[in-house]
Amino acid sequence: MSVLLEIKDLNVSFTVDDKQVHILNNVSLEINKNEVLAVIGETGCGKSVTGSAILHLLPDNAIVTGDILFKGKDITKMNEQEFRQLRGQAIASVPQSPSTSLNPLMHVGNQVAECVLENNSSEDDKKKTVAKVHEIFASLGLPRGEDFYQNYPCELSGGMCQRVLIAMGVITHPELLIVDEPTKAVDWALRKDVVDVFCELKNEMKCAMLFITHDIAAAKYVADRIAVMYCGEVVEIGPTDSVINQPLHPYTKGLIASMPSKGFKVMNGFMPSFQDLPKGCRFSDRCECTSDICINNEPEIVEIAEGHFAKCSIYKNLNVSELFKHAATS
Amino acid sequence: MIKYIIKRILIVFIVLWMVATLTFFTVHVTPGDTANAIIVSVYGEDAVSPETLENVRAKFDLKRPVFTQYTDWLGNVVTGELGTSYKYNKPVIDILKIRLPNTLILGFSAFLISLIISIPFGILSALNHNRPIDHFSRFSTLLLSSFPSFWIALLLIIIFSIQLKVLPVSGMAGFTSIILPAVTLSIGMTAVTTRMLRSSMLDVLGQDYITVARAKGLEDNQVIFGHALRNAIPPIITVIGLQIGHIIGGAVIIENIFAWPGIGGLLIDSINTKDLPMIEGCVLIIAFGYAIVNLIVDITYSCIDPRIKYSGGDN
Repeated sequence: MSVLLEIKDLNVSFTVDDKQVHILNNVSLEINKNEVLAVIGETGCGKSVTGSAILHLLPDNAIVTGDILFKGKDITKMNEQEFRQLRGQAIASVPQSPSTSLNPLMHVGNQVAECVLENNSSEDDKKKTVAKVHEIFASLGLPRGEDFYQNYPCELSGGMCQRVLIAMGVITHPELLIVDEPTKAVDWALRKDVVDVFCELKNEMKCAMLFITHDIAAAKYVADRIAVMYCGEVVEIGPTDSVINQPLHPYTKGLIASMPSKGFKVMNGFMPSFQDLPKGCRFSDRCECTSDICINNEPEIVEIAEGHFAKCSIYKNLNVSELFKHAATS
Repeated sequence: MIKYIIKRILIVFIVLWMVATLTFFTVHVTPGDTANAIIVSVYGEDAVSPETLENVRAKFDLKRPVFTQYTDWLGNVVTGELGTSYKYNKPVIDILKIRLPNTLILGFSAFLISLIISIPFGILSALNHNRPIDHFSRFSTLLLSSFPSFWIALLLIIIFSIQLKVLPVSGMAGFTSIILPAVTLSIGMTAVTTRMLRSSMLDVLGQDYITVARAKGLEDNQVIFGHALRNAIPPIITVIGLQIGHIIGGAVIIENIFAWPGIGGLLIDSINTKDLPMIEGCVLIIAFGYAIVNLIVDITYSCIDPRIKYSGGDN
């Protein structure tokens, strides 16, 4: 499979009160064509910052280094005008928080249509776009027709708003869709519907997705591969089955164990502040297997099984057979 | 919506009645004899004598009990009759017809100047948050809103009328005579609207839907004017509404300094002479202006923001 998006050593810092707060630390990811990569982790671990960095939507006080290659072209080097040709077209997004992500004073239909329409679009184009919006609404299970098109966000339920946001993301048939916490603001009953919509999109539209979520069950259902982020770092990445059933990193193991279906065992401690990070492994103060190496040295990312990587010192000095043994017994 | 408008119009009439009643009794409890004030203002101090006082009281029917005067006056107002001015000896409505357009011309010129300056400045200031243009805008609006309007008026007169001799000092003769009073009146409004628009825009620019609009790949102009400005406008409409109400009330100080023959000057003059029908006429016009502008603001608000319509229009 050919690589669509490649992130190499992405570092993001924010200048706060004349100090630099380092958020993303050497994040490296790849997304292949038509592949869904889920990024999971606790709130505040840098998942959405990664998505915003790809979309050039970080605030002015952000300092970004590293490369983000989209179809081989480094988009971090593009100026705003060049990148605008890609944003919303080849790279689209579905934002989190349906209640705040739609303009409250604009008809929902127009909010979707403006993703396609240019300033100088002809009347004919406008009519075609409106028809296309109706079609997409219908395909997402929303009511078809002028009445729904002319609704304001305050007239819709949370689930409907979420679907309108999805419509905004997919109307341009993007090659890469960045989906940010789609199940965050919807209730339990709607959560399944929303996840189903993404599964359908994955099968029908064949677009690649960066599926940012803290909902491991949703990630398991939708994604081909999963990347686990902790405190601004990718600590584990691999095929979905492998990561869910044979987690390698102690943090991933903790996350999986905290799922209701896996026993609901809550992890110790809290994620450290980005302004006061541990010197070595960022997970060292919560890890049950911490050693001196973990406290003093930043671990390297190691490939344990084919395509399954973990950033943990436990695996650094083990040979291949020991690695498999450790992974299987843990 | 129609129900809501009818309800609001009824409230306008109740407000007018309350304002008129309060003014009527306030004028009556203020010290001084009405007949005496009328004679002094029309004929001078020397004309005051028991005879003239008696004549004036008889002519204007001032001997009636206060409550009877009130009910008579209220009955006339309901039929559209505002009475006759004691001082000018002319129907109040005729005098208002002459004075009101002057106030409106001055007020709306000032209003237009303030909008032309404050809208681009407010937007630019918000878009360049914490940059030199924002600092300049914040400093200048704070400075201008802190200066008393009479001081600005005198400063402008000294510069443009006395030193440069390009504009007339006062009065109402031709287009040039409106420039100084309108500019003076607009300065305070401009400062308030600029600051309000800046803070409203800053608030909106930080909202998720603005980030989403950018994520759609929209041009900056579409994001700013199609999404941000549209959401930043509702709070500004409230401020603008209050300012228009203030204009209709007549910028008393400005009208006096520039000898502009408007409602503000007329009201001050009428209070000095205890010209009750004239005072009531002016107050009713001012209160009516405030109430109508507020009604228009509320209706505009609910047209712009669908969330207000759905909460019954009471917000």
